[in-house]
Amino acid sequence: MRRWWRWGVGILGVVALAAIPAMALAGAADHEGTVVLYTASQSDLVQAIVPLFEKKTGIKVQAVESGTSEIIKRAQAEKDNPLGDVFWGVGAEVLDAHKALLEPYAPAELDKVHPSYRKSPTWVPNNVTPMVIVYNKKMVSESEKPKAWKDLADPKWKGKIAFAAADRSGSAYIQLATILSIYGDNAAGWKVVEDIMKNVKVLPSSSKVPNGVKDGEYAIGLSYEDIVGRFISGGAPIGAIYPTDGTAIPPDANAVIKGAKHPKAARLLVDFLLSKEVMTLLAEKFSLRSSRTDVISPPGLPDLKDIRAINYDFNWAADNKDRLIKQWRDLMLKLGG
Amino acid sequence: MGRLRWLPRDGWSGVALAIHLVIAFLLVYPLARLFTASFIGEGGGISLENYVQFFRYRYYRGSVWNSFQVSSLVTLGALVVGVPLAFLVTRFDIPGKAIVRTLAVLPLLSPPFIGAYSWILLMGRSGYLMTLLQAWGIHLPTIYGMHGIVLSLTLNLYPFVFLIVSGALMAVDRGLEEAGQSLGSSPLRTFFTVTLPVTLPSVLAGALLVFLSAFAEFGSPMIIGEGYTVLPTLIYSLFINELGGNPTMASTASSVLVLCCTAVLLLQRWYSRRKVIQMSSLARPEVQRLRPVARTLVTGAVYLVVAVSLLPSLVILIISFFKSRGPVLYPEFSLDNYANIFFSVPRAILNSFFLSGLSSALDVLVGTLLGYILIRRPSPVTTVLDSVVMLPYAIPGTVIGVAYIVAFNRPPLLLTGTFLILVLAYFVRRLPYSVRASAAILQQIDPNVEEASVSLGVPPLRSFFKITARLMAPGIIAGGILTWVQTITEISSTIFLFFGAWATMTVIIYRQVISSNFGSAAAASSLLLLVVFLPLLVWNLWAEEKAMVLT
Repeated sequence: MRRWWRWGVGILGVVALAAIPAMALAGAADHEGTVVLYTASQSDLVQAIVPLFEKKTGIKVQAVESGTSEIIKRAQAEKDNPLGDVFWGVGAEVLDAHKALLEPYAPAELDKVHPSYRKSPTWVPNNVTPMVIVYNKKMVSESEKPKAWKDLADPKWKGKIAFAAADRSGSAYIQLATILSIYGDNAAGWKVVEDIMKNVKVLPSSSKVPNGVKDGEYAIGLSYEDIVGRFISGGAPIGAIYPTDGTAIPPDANAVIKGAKHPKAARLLVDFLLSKEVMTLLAEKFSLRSSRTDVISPPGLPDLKDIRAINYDFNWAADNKDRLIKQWRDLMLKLGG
Repeated sequence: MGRLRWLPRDGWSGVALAIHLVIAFLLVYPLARLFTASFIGEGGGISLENYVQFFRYRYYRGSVWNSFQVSSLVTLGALVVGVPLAFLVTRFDIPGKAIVRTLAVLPLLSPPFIGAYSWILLMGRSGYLMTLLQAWGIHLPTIYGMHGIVLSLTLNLYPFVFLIVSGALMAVDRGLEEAGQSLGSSPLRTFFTVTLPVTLPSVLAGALLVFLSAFAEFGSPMIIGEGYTVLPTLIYSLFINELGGNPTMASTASSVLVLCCTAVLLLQRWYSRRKVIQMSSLARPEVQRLRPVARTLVTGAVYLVVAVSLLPSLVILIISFFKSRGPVLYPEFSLDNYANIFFSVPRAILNSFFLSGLSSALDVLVGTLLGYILIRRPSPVTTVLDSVVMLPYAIPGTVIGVAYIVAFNRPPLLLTGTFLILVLAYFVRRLPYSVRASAAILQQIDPNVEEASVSLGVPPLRSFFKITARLMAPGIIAGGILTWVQTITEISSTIFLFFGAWATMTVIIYRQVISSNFGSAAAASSLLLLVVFLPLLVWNLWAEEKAMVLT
């Protein structure tokens, strides 16, 4: 019995000795010492950026990597007692649809971000990526490849186009809203959508689109530049087409989670992710376009000036989401049988 | 006899009470909120309007019919493949039996996400097999759509039938079949008139597991369905959705799914109760020696079936050694994929073994006792309990994962962020396997021996462990293996519940899949297959040896 008692005191003593300086340090450093990162970014991005932050600040990062919809659902389920502190690399339209989970935060360098991306006080624009058409170079010749969204309506593509479910995937929804922005959210615009949808196969998530095109399962797909770029730099025989009838260039975003247990560390992390240093690294190493105005364009990608951007109304797309999704779903039901 | 059942001193009452409490805490409490949500109307009052909407809108309603269609065909297919396979393997002297038994379990392990993707690589529009066959002028339909889902799920799920029926076939009393044959019946006739009826509860138990698994499966339909919606993919899309989805309709659809599954469960139970033939199997059936020609044919057939069902795993193994640059694979030998995941793997394997081992042990213990209560101490309460315990089988893992966060994320029930929440979720999700397996085997065991023991003064619980539990052993073990295999490959609730250092092998695979690094995902999947394969093989070799000593 006595020996147990001594052991107990000993262990408590050691723990106390270790804990006191740690707590003092945490207090002095103006942050909580750890931060829990919820991210849908690529694994290699997380592995490249997280250690830089840890080294710079001494804050330990616990990363929970997951798909966009899963990471959002997780935070939603935890909302009474949040376990995550920061979202990183989630589509802005997705974060915007879940504003209730976010703590408004404006980093000091927010003014470096192009104003057209600053649509909400709750999330911080991160990288931006144009919506593109992806095609398989072995299956589609340069002469017959589509040039514009509208070209996808050609019946010769029937069953050969991959499209992520617009009622599930944030980027597919943006593609739908883009086409409607160009051709009108009216009978004429929906006719264009219908003619395109007659040709598509619906895939469950946006990452399946370029992969299916790479595998030769589909000739063409509706996708976005940054993911297509990963496949191209891996040597896949696919190419990106910037539609001549115009395209949207939406941001993905970062945010502090409402009720975060490590709010100071969370803000430091969001600041860091927006920093010129990180954005430049992402542009140079991972070919990601920054929402900042003072970061170089990724080498090898066309200049934004040469891409025909439409005036994509982020708020219109957000406000009309339920209706557009319902209309799209009804359309797919009609076409399916 | 009847007097014995509900005597207060009967240790079983205590066991039954404890199990009820466990189920209430781990299952009813977390899921109650989910189901009540479906009965709340738009105005906030109790209403059925969500259900009206569900059946009025074809987008929702159609998935129910699709699910029934797919699951029925898959069940039929799994019986056609699984029952003969089990019979041939248990009864004839096929070489390499332990290996066949082990390999035949592997399809169940079809690693999350990448299992279905390997079907696309094989039988997609530009699949390896498709291209090869087209060069020979053979044009097969692609894997996409309903029939592809049926094919992949059949080859994925037949091991349920194979395992459970194998266990039952080994527990058939030798005397029965010998009697049949000595009365002049042909072996085939004996199979249909004696062996099959006796093992019918197990055949039906296997069929039920297949049906319900197919009914609740969302991975394959999602990836190869190309828009063909079944109930689980509908629920998934409504519930786990970048744009917010529709949680109320998701819970309505989940309730519909659970109702369908409960109906099938009750039908199965009603039918298998009527068909029960009990025996006291003290002499196990003999393994027959075949003549060389017959032996070659039987062996060839068995190996062919197993080989076809292992094709997806084989594809995964092969591409794991491909060179990869980002998401693109090149058919050149390389170990890069393994190097890429090397550092995260050891801890993840330990996690997987620890979590699945602990929860499977709990499943076997509770499942065996519960199976006994359901079969030997039936009452109106146990009928309800039986259906409730099967719920997790029908409810998608994602839904359970999210329900667990909501239920166990506040003191005093703060389990999120710990390994315990994973163990408990696994325990609940896989309990049906142990319960069904033990209930099935009990139905073919004569209660007389145990009752004799009790009437001779041995306490009921002790009699159970001394006699019945031993007779049940083949069934319990079959159930335990299923539980473990299905736990170690669990991903859908793990995605939501893992935290910090508790990433499992399936989480490693998942991370690579969402980053489109299929090479690394394949490497992690192959390692997972390997670490499950080896212990199973050792176990089967050992069991084989032991069986030979017995016969």
